[in-house]
Amino acid sequence: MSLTQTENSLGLTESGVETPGEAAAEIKGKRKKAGLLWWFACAWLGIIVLMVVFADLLPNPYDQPVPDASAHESPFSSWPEFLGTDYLGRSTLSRIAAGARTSVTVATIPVASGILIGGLLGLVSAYFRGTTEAVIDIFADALLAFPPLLLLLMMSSVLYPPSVWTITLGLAILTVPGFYRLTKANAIAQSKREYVVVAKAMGARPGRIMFKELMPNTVATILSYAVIVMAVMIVAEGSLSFLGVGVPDPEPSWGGMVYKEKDNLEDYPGQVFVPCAVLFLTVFSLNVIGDRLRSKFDVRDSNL
Amino acid sequence: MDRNKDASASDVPLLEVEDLKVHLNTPRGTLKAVDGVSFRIGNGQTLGLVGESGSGKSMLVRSLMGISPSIAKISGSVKLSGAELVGIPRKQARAVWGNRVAMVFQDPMTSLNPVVRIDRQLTESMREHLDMSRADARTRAVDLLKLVGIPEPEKRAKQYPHQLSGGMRQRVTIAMALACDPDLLIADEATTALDVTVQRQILDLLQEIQADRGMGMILVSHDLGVVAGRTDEIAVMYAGRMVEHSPTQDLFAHRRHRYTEALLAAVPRLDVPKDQRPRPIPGSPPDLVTFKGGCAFAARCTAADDVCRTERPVMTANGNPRHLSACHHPVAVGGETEAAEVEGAVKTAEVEEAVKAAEAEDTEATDVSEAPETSEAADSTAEVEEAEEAAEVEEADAPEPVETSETSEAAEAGDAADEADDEAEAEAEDAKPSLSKEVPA
Amino acid sequence: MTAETSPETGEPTGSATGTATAGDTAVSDDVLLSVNDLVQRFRVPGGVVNAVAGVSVELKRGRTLGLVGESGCGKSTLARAILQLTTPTSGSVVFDGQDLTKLSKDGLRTMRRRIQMVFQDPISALNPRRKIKDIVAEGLVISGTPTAEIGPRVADMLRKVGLDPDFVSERRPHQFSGGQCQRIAIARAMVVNPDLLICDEPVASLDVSVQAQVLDLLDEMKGSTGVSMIFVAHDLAVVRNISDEVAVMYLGTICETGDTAAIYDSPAHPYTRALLDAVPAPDPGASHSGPALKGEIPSPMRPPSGCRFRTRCPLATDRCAEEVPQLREVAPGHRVACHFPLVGDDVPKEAAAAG
Repeated sequence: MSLTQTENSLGLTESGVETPGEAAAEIKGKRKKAGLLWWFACAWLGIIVLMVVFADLLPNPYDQPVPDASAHESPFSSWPEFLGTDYLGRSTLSRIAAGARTSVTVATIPVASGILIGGLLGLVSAYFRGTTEAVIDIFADALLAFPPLLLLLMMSSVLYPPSVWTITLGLAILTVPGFYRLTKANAIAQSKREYVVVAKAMGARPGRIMFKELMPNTVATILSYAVIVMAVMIVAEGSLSFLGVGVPDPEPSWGGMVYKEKDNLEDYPGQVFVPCAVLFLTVFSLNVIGDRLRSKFDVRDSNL
Repeated sequence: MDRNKDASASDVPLLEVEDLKVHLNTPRGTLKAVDGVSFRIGNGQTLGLVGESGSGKSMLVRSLMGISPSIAKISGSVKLSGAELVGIPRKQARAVWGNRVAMVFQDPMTSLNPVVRIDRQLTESMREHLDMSRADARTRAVDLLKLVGIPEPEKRAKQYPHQLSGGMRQRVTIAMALACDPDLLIADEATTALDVTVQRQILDLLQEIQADRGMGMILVSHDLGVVAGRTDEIAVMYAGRMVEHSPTQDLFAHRRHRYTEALLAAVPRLDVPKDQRPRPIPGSPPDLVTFKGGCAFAARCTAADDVCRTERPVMTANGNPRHLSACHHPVAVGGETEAAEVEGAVKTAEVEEAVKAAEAEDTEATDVSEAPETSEAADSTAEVEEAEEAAEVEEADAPEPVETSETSEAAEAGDAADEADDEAEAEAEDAKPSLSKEVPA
Repeated sequence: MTAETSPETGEPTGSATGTATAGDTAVSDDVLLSVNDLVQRFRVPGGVVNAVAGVSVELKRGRTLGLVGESGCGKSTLARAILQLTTPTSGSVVFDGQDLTKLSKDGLRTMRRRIQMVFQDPISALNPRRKIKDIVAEGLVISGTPTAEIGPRVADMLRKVGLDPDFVSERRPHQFSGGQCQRIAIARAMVVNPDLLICDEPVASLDVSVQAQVLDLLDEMKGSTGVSMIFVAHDLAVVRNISDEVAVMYLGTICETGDTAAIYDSPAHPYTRALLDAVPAPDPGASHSGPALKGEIPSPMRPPSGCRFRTRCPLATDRCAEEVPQLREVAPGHRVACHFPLVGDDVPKEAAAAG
């Protein structure tokens, strides 16, 4: 049994010239079938981007368009408040759009800084190994060992008053060790391959080896991981805001909107449901895209 | 030759492959990895399967083992001791694969699980297929390790694959392959990754085990040197088809196909003067998706002419009826001219003798050494059909080629039949270009 | 060094033609590389591995040295130590009059251009995510060649290795076969006009039909540029046509060295004999001329006492266990480290014991 199994895995990777490529082709074929989900994910993220760009065209998310009326307005009753208004009478659509800005900030900036700092340290550590690696490892491990929630709470109390930027900074610090480790692991695996030895033997300087030889081969993995981390960041921001320690109230945030409306769940379910759904779809889309990127790059690697 | 003695040991050949096709559906089109291959292996016989990477030899043996990729479409017939394997339910087939047919791979590290001890890897398949108790299986595992020449088998059984050298690992995979007493052992480039010294040890071991157990064996290699002294028959594959198939001695003595010749010239050897350098084969094999007509080797062949580029050669026996080759301009012994008649003239006596022998064997219809003839008939089923069609269309001297395929009087049919065959084929192709399955690949 | 670098393209060609005809001409007296008593140890969990245990070899300009032995004999480690990819534990590597082990980092870096390497696995030796033209240009970029020169030189070199630059330049390694990748690797090594090319099993992972292509290409390169070569292989048949001299290694030491003809026609060391016997002959009639070598190469962590080959040697006696055989001449230029060499028995054994 074990025999046939191992051989099966082998049949796809090891048989002569034509098979690996064909196996890859087969996986590509399968991916086409999953295309609908992929297009949906892309479309949804497109909508989010549109919201971020054109949020200013919608009514001000801080205004209360009908100050006298009872605060809540049901969805689909008027434009541009067709998603209704919240307990203060603010347009939910406007707040979702403005909240998208918060989410995008919180998703991209920590991930970008994580890639930049973690990736760089990872390359350095993988190339030099030894003491350099040991020292950087200590910091990375310490950061990983520190309870993230505690760190964020501390930051929001130290950098008072808390804002989008407090949480962004906090999350940025937290993403670094992940990217560091991933980059390092990948780069170490690459640095054992002969083309890196060749580059060394040719007299390439460390910087050249790190950026021309190691980096291109880690970028793919890092990017697909980054997309998934973005999703995690959005969830983290949503959760923190829901707990009341994230983005403070007048600032729109999907998590915060749920938090503020959770007591009105029975009377106005839409006010909770809409930001929840938006959050869900965004995170889901990011994961779909991240998965696809990863499998694409994996195939590419096995094809080499 | 002792081949004959072995061959007549059983009525039913151990393995009978007829017109086996492994076609892979790729986005670019159908890749004909194996395109109509036929051969037989008798009990206790060893077949050498030779070709470059991409010739389809790995794909062929993998399809025999049931481990071809899932995009592969397998057609034709594979009979193991008379029982058909193609198209039967996977569950039934699985009882055959790994039990009656076993395989040794090029890289032992990929067929061994790195985190499982050697004895567990060995006992697992035994317990699965042979229903043995744990203790029995363990004893047998140690016995097997001893059999394959591993020193201190008890100690080694407790180790992990990475603690062994490459040669030792390959011995372990051979032990694993032998665990269920297979009838057929396939060694797929099993020694390619090893040192020459270890390669020799492993090949000796395989040969010894094969002889002891009377197993059938397929030795797959890209190196004619590896299979030279260790096989009964050799089949040379190129671009998914068999181009030459012959008893080993005869192949080396009177190789016919230009590709075989080129392969042999490429082997670095010590038994020739230093200035006789290995000759490379220029270029690379054709793309098996886009390749259409003619001889697949034509583009790299020094003797190729327009006929080679347009007409696909068929497997025919010129001279020795067990020696088949598919070449328009076969290599002449000791010369470069077109060959069949020259060779025929030179070797008339020998040929006649061989024909007589073949006819004698023919009467015992199931004799294994008849394999080449049958394989020819089957390997070129398409050709036969084409020839028949040509006969209908043209009313030419087509019966002869048909006969050539069915009986084994190739030597007598000789050059004329050969030419007729070719013509018939060409005409058949002209007449019926839409027969897609017959488009040579 | 300046005196040596200036004629790097012209002068070695001359010596190559000189050596191609006869090995003992005066032209080839010019030593390019000399490795003296090189020791390379590695600390591993559980002990110290003596991968290379005191090896001395010499390579003359324009000549090719075949370095042969089983895996684990230290031949690849020696190649890497010559390149200073690892820091040798002791000994010296004198390349063109300069001891590489004593060079500064920068000095070594400029020296590296002159020694290039080709590896066994062409696919692993090429960065999968870079274009062929960038891979081949690597050495030129590193050595600071003007950008305008790089393109034409890369294209020219690709043509020389038999690849169409227009077709391959923009592609990536995975689109090529093993043989083609090896051509690309050779182009990358040769584009900087090195003085020494170290090939570590360059054909071991290729089909026989392609092996000969690559060997021919290397031979051609040798002829046209006069590059000196160290050719590492486990198969004596492969190095035969390309080498002028052969050194056979076993367990970190050289056990026999000499002219190619001497090694192949009259091997003196039983190990060399066994290696020759192991080469499969593509002839069903020819059986192996000797018994197969028994067992496997011992662990370099615990090498046998005395002669390292004695555990597998059919001729071993007690003396082999006690006394380490030294390299000595059995014929002019043919040296062997064995107490009981298969040739040159006229050399008294006492002399060997004394020396």
